[in-house]
Amino acid sequence: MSQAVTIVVVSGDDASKVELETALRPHYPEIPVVDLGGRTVREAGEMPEIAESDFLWFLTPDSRPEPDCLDELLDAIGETESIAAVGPKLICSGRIVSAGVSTTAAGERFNPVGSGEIDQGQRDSQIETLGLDLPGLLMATTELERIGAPSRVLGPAYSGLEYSRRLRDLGARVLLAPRGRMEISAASAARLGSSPHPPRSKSQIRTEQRYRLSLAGQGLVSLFCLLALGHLGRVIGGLLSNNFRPAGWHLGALIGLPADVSTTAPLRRANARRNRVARRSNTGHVAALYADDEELAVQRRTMSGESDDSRPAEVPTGGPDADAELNPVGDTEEAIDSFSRLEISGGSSLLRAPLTYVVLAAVVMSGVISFRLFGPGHLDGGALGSTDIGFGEIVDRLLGRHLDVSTGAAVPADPYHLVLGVLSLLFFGHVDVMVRSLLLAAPILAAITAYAGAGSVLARRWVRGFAALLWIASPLFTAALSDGRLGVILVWICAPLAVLTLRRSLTTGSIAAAAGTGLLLFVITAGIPLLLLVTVLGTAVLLVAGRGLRHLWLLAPTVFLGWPWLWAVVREPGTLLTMPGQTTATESAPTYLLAVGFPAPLDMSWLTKLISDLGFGGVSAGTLELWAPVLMLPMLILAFFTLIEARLELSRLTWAVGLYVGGLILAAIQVHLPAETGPFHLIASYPAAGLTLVSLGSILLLSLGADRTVGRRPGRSRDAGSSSAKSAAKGASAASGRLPMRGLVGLVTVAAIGLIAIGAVRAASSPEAVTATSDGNVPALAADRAAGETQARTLRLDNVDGEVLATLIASADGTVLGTSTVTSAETVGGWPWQRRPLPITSDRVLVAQAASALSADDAGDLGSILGELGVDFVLVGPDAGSLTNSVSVSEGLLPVGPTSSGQLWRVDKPYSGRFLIRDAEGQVSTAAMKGTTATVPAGQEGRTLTIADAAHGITASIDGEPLPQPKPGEEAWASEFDLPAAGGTVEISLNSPLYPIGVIVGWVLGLLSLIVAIPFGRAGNVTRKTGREEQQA
Amino acid sequence: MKHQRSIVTFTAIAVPGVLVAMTSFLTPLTPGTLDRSPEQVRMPTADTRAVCPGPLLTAGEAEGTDAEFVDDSKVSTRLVSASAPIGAADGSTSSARLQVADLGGSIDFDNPSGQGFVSGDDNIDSTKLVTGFARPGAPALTTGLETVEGSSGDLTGLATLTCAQASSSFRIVAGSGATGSNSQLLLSNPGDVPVQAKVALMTPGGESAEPTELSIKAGQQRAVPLGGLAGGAEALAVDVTVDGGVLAGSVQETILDGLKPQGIDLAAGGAGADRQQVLTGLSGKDARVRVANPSSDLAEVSLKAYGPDGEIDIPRSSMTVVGRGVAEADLGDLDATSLVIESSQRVQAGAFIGKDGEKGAADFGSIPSTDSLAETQILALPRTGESSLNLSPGQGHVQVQGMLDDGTLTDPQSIDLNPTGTTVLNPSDVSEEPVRALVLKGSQASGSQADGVHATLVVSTEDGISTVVPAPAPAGVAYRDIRLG
Repeated sequence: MSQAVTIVVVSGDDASKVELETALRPHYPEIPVVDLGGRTVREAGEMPEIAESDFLWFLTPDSRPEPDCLDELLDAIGETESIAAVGPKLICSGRIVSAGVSTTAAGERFNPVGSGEIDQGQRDSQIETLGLDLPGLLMATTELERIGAPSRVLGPAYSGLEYSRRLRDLGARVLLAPRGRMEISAASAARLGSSPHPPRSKSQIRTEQRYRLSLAGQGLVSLFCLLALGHLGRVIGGLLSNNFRPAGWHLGALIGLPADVSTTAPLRRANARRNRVARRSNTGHVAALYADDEELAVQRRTMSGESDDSRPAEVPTGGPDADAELNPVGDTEEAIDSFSRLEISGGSSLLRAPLTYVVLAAVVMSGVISFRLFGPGHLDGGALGSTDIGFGEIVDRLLGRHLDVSTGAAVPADPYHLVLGVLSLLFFGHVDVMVRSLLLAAPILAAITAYAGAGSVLARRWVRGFAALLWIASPLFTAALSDGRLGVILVWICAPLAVLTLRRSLTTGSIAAAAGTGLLLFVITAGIPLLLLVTVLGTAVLLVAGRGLRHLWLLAPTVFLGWPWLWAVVREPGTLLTMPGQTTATESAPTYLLAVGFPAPLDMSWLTKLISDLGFGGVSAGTLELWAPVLMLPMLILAFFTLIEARLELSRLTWAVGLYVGGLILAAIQVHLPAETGPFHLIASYPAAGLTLVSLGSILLLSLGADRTVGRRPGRSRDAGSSSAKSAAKGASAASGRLPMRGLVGLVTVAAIGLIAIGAVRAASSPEAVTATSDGNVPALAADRAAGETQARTLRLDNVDGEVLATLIASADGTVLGTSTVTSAETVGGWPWQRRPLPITSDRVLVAQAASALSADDAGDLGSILGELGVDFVLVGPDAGSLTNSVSVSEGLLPVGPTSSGQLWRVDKPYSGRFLIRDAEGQVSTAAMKGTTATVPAGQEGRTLTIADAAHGITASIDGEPLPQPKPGEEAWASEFDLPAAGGTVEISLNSPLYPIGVIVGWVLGLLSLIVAIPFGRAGNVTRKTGREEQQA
Repeated sequence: MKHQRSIVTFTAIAVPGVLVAMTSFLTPLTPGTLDRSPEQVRMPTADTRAVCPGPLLTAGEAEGTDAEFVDDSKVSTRLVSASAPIGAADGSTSSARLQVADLGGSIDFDNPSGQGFVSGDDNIDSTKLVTGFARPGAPALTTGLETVEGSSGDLTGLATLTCAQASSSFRIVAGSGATGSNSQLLLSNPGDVPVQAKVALMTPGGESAEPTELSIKAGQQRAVPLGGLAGGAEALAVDVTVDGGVLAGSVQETILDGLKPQGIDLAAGGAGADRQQVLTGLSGKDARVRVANPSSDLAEVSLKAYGPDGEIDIPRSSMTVVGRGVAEADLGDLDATSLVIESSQRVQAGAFIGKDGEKGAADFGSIPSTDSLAETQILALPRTGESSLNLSPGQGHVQVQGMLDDGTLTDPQSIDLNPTGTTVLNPSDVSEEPVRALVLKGSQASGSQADGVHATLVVSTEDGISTVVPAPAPAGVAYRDIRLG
């Protein structure tokens, strides 16, 4: 009985259909081939070939069934009523590819046939599987109306499975007809394996996702979340393990998830309809046919083992392939050396490691310079400021734009504060402990990182130790340690690491190294802002020189983590010239001192005193000025000899000289550019940026010179193999001729130790050093008021050399958080060749008026002017002499008494702090504050809420409606708002609500770059290759 | 590059060398860290209060809160008060209300604000409080001038004093503890509460003794004889600090050489101690300069003198002053000389000029240090003798307006300053009618040999010589220096 069979092919391409027809004509001459691409089921049903056929045979353009395949299939399908579809064994070059497939309960494809199984009848008994692959599936035509056409959105791996699922959902069976065999192409065969893990291509992830979504019924939402979280987790996992390609695929799948949900919606609807028809609510009918996860894992293991091995495994026989040999011919010593370093180098005692001595010197240096850090209380002084703050204040400062110093300012936090905050996390939020630990550990950390960084350029350990010693002996570093310039200290620790990771990025092309360099450059920019220009310049040069787009990672962390500050820098470029931390008026060093690395002139009066104490008679300070060249003389001579040394590698020499000269020019320019103002000085830019480059360049030069003085270098040089005898001879003569140079290197080491000693003594005698103290900036009474609800301020008057110094102290003044590079830069304006202090703003004029009124006798009632400033207390520093008398005469002050910080007066006014309610007659009262909400009682019309804060961008609103400002055009420094007569609760916000969100988004992206920068995990070479194969298939 | 190595080596040696040579040695560029001047703040207006000490106390009246005054008919004590029109913040011009009252007692007269007012040369017999009431935006440009003139007897001579304003600490470089000199420190309390004063004397040998503490009741004047505190000291300076209020202080000095009167003088505190002091108006015989050093270290002081035609030589060009002490130097006879005193430490200076009278009598006058001329200052003129206004060397010009009897101001006159010498102006040249006070405007003037331009009026009669300094600029006119941290 001849059944009418129609071959259905979905190719959309006439050429392949014709090819199939041609291929099938010899065996199946009368069977029409129909292309159903693009037609609906109804249209298909109306086609004459379909309408008149009994069975449909689904083929792909590359399928070549065996002559008796169709008969076997027809026999199999005719056996029982319940069989709705049958399919042949799919063969490819003699090996079974697919003979019935299944999935796990989660929906991953499981093909029980491993790759390369020769057909020996082992699959003939297992004929009942969950589904069959679509090529070769024979089905009764009547089913077409019941279940529709195979889905095209699922790939070849899942379309057959899904189609078979439909049949099974209707209660029918899908069977393998083991005696039917069909040949398919290798490309199709490659797609019909089990679901591989890790995934081999993007399409695989997407089709799997679609299959699972198409089967989801009730649990669509939970499946959606599961898939989304799964992809997210794999993205992060991929970044962590440096597999960027699969991470990208999962990211693409995650983004495409909603699209996939909508694409598979028709399938789900149909699925739901069938379930309703069959009155079924679960998948129990197919549960037995699911594969176990263990079975899938076994299949995956066999799959991955084979794909790695592009050639069949062979026993190494010493044949022509040299790589297969166990013992390669070559540098035996190197091989043995790399195999077991411990046995060859002999004597791995710690005393023979130069790092030990450098760390020892660093420990001694740290002890001598920073011994004053031990003590109760908190740190204060120098360029550091008081560390008496809590972690919550740091977070508040980072997430908001309001800086509570003096009359208030709206500036973003410096990246310096972010670095401090992150470092404090390591110490559970104790800023003080963190700063102390950092200052004490800094020389040791800097020595270790310098040793590691020098390893990327120099090979010999003693030279690396020499470089590390020079690095920590640098006068800029010792000055920063004693003054508490945390920025310079961070740069000193991170700069050698940045050199290391940058070299790794340039040589190995690793994205992780580029991201790591970017993070380190962010810390460096946080420490010394002017190095941002160097970063930008370097990135631009690297990109223009075509070293790879990954070098954008050099800038990315700075942009993510510091975008508010960068935006402020764009508007106020002078910010780059300032240094984070307190403003200290250091004298500018003359250029000859800058050339040898000193940031400020040192006064050697201590040495004069020491010499005269020792009884050697009076030595004038002028003669002692000569110490600088004497100490530096060995270094200058070594540098000179290095420069004229002909055998130095040219690129390294250029780098060293370029860094040194560039840094010197930069430092010289910085020293002549005023950057910020202090009460008594117009302060030049601290030359830290230039001197960092100078140190890098000069230490590189000196180390290269030291490297060359010690004879032949070990076998890492490129011409080691060729003329070993010649270079050995050269080396021997070099060693003998360079013995005086060894003495020079030793002298340089001694000079470096001398530099450390000078830095240590300077730390002991400097008045601006950081010390541990328990005294607060203001007396406790005033400090409580400042931190309390009303946030009242204190006006502090000091008598400095006969002049009155007035400081308005708010809660953050004098602390580590109370500085901003942007506000420091805003006080100086003008073109670089004529920078002058800008005139003070009206709020500062008010402060000066208050101070002059207090310091003059008979100046009238000061309560109003102090109330306008939000000042509750007046403090006169100790040793103020007549100033105390003048203040005591002033009206409107009530004496509180002497405190540890000086004499304290309270301002005699009925209101307190900076949140004031003024009514139309001029009566002032304090607004009751709770956090940032002010409760305003009902009162008369015409009241205004005055916030004595000079920060712009303060808004107040009642019930969400912003309050109007009484004089919108007028430039008053304080913020004023009209209050309704009914009063209410006023919400005061100091910055726009989008700002903290933006900052947190930046932090998340910064965390992402940290994950990218982690250097562990596969480099990703393997997946790249197989991925390409997948995409070709 | 072919010669890259040579280029690099050359750069490494040459660039630092050239840079260092150029910026450090050949033409050292101005470094970026410079001193800057303080912020200058103009304070809101406040009342001007000055206390005129009243008739001289003669020896024999010890300190006491109710001293009896000797009425010597040959000594007349007179007070001139003036209130000059000054521009207000709203653009109008008016003079402040002026009140003269007894210290702690009744009001003599109260003249409302108008277009200027000058009182007559009224005789007084007690301490007077001269108050100018400022209104918001309109400062009180007022002053009081006390003239003591003796034509016979022990108190022959002339003493004029611009009445001193009350403050909480001041220093008067005047007085002497030598025999023949009767120096009294007069402290007046114009406030409502009693105050504590601490009086310390600086002598050529350093600080004399522990400071004397005394209290002065509200509205009272106390006299402290300095001879008792520092007997034998040739030259003195008096340091007064006040606790709990303000005091106005002046030093009254009368010298007798046997039976011959050697002069009377009233001195008040001048400008505060500074590293540079300018005294002008040294025009007389036996000029002396006295420098007080309030710090505890030794001070080296250099002197430079500028006559009407330029710099002149003086017998002493430098002095050394002990810590917490004074030193005096004789400068011989000078004519219209300005003296610039410079030191590395803060010092305060005063000068003395003398005049010979009849029959061996003599008189002397003291010149206190002054602040440089502010935007507007008033100087009342004594109605006796001949006056000449001395201005220290400077650039630009000083505007002078004379105040006539009816209180109006004459047209402003520009006095060009002599950059190398003292400028002398006769007040009667300002107008044909008698000028009773001068309003000096120094905004267009700047000092050439020193900071700022200083002015002093030298008055000499037949028997006496004395000086008058302009009243300090009223609150709301002068700028105060404040450092903002």
